[in-house]
Amino acid sequence: MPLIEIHNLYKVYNPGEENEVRALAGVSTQIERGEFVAVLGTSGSGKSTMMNILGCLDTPSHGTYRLGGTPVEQLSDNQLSKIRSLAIGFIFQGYNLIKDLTALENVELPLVYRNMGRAKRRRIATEALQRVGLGDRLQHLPSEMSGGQQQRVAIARAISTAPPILMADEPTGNLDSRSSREIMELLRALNRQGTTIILITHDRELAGYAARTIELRDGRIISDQPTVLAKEGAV
Amino acid sequence: MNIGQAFSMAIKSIRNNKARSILTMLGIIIGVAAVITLVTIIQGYQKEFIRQVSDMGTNVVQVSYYYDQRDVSRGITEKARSMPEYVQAMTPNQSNWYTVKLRDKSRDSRIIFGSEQYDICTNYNIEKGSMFTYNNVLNADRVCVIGQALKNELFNFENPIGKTVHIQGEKFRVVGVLEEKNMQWGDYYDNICIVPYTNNRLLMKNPSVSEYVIQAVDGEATKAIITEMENYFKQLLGRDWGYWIYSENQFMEFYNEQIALMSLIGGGIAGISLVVGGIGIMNIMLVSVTERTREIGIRKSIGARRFDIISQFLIESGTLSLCGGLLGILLGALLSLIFGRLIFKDLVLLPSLFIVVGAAGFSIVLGMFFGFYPANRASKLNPIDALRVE
Ligand SMILES: Nc1ncnc2c1ncn2[C@@H]1O[C@H](COP(=O)(O)OP(=O)(O)OP(=O)(O)O)[C@@H](O)[C@H]1O
Ligand SMILES: [Mg+2]
Repeated sequence: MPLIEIHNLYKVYNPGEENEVRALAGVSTQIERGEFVAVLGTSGSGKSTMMNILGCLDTPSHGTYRLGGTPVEQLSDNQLSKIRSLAIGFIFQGYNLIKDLTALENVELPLVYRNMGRAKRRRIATEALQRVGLGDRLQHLPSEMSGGQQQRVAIARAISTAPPILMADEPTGNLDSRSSREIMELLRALNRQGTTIILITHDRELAGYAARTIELRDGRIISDQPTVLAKEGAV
Repeated sequence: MNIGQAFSMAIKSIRNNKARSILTMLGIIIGVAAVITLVTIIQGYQKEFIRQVSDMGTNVVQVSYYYDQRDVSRGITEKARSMPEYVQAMTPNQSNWYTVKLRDKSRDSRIIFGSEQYDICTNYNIEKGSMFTYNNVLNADRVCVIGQALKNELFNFENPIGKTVHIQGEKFRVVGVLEEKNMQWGDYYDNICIVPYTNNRLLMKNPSVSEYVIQAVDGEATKAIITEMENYFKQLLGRDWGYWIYSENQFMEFYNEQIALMSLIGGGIAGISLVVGGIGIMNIMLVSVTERTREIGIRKSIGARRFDIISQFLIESGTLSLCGGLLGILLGALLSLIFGRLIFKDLVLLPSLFIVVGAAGFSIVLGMFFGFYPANRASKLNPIDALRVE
């Protein structure tokens, strides 16, 4: 049984109105446990829209999504929260940090919702921030950090819970090429430890870290194949 | 949800919006301060009243008969003695101003014509010696018990027991001295000299004894005594006027009713201001939820359940309201002190612990009650819709 299975997924914004947008127009695919998949596509091709649905943050207008065999549309609000808390780590394109909380507190938050004790979650959150190179920025507010640093806090928050599935929407969009490669190595290491990773990027080179690349255009999959670069072990 | 975290978030957001938070709390502050001041002042009145009444003696029935010169003292005394289950003590309570002399010193004093139970009925304590006896009364002995003020004036540091004073030229032997009453009326209650009432014919031109005080065993007994005494006079006179029977207890009932009414009105006003304060909290929490829609979206997207969001906002509104409540308690304590000073001279008024704890607890509940609607609304947000809000 595939971990993720979507069938004929549609997402229509503002249906029936003048500004109707078909962000997804019949997407079907399957992702197995332990895969590292890149989703490639031009801006506006529907990548984030698909990711939000896969991350149980949004619901499709049409079509089915099975996560671990369970149809997601049948789950209650609380069950969805539980999935987001225990199964999925989400790195947002726009970071989505809470502005009144320090880097450390932001990274601790998913652990708070897992009812983890204070000392333990402090330790884990600190480790996660150190892994993304922010060991010296624990007490900074998002407004006191650069875009790239905020992005790395968002990454630390997603990996702190060691989720079985990690979804990353342009996780290196604001980083220089060296930092980007470091983050990619981090994702690859997590994948080797068994984490299923879905990575959104518009950068073909970065997509090379994944074993498989799905390409979207105008809300449809136009190609889905093993990554050539990855096979050759390039970069 | 982690309560400590929600609590520190709440404190943070209150501090980040100081002016707004204070304005929001204002309703609660005023409401709580009003309740506290009101309750404390009412309690002050009750304390003061109980103190005054117990100075005069509690559960006392006063009987007066001024209608004609008839001597009713025998009848009243017998009537009182016939119901020992209600009556603890009784005494005539007739007084007249005469000059009391000792050698070259003298003082105008209130001479009281009483029984050997006068001290019990009017709440005096004996400092030295004793009250005169029943036999002294029967024999109309010329003995007396003097109050502190009279003792100080005539005897100074001398021991008065056994000494003889002159009243209206008659010799009276001092057998007892009363403790000081120390009430608000100067030395009115201490400048006295009690003699057996059977001396009335000796000292008074118009010797009728018209006033009596009966000490009942308890509050209920006063009612029975009043009824019995009324029956006695109705039988004696064949009509229901021409006499007067009265107990502080009746007044106390009336007084308690007045206080209950006052509490009700004041409580109503305070209650309204608390509701207004609560609505203020609800309003600001709605604003807060709107402002922080994005934050709620983030929290939900990383695993917060509806319950987590609800408890976060409830803790926040509870904390906000509690802060208002605490400030209100401080203000209320201050107002109580000030009003206490103005109304009661020698009574320091402070809210009781019970009221303080009650007010604090109530403001938390109030905040949570009015915070529930906004909190519940926040918890229902769909994560992605919440995240899209800028
Ligand atoms: N809330 C929305 N309301 C209306 N249209 C939307 C909404 N969100 C996305 N869209 C539209 O859906 C399409 C796909 O958007 P999406 O965000 O999925 O693109 P993307 O592939 O992630 O692009 P990018 O690389 O720029 O992030 C776009 O044309 C966008 O305008
Ligand atoms: Mg996008």
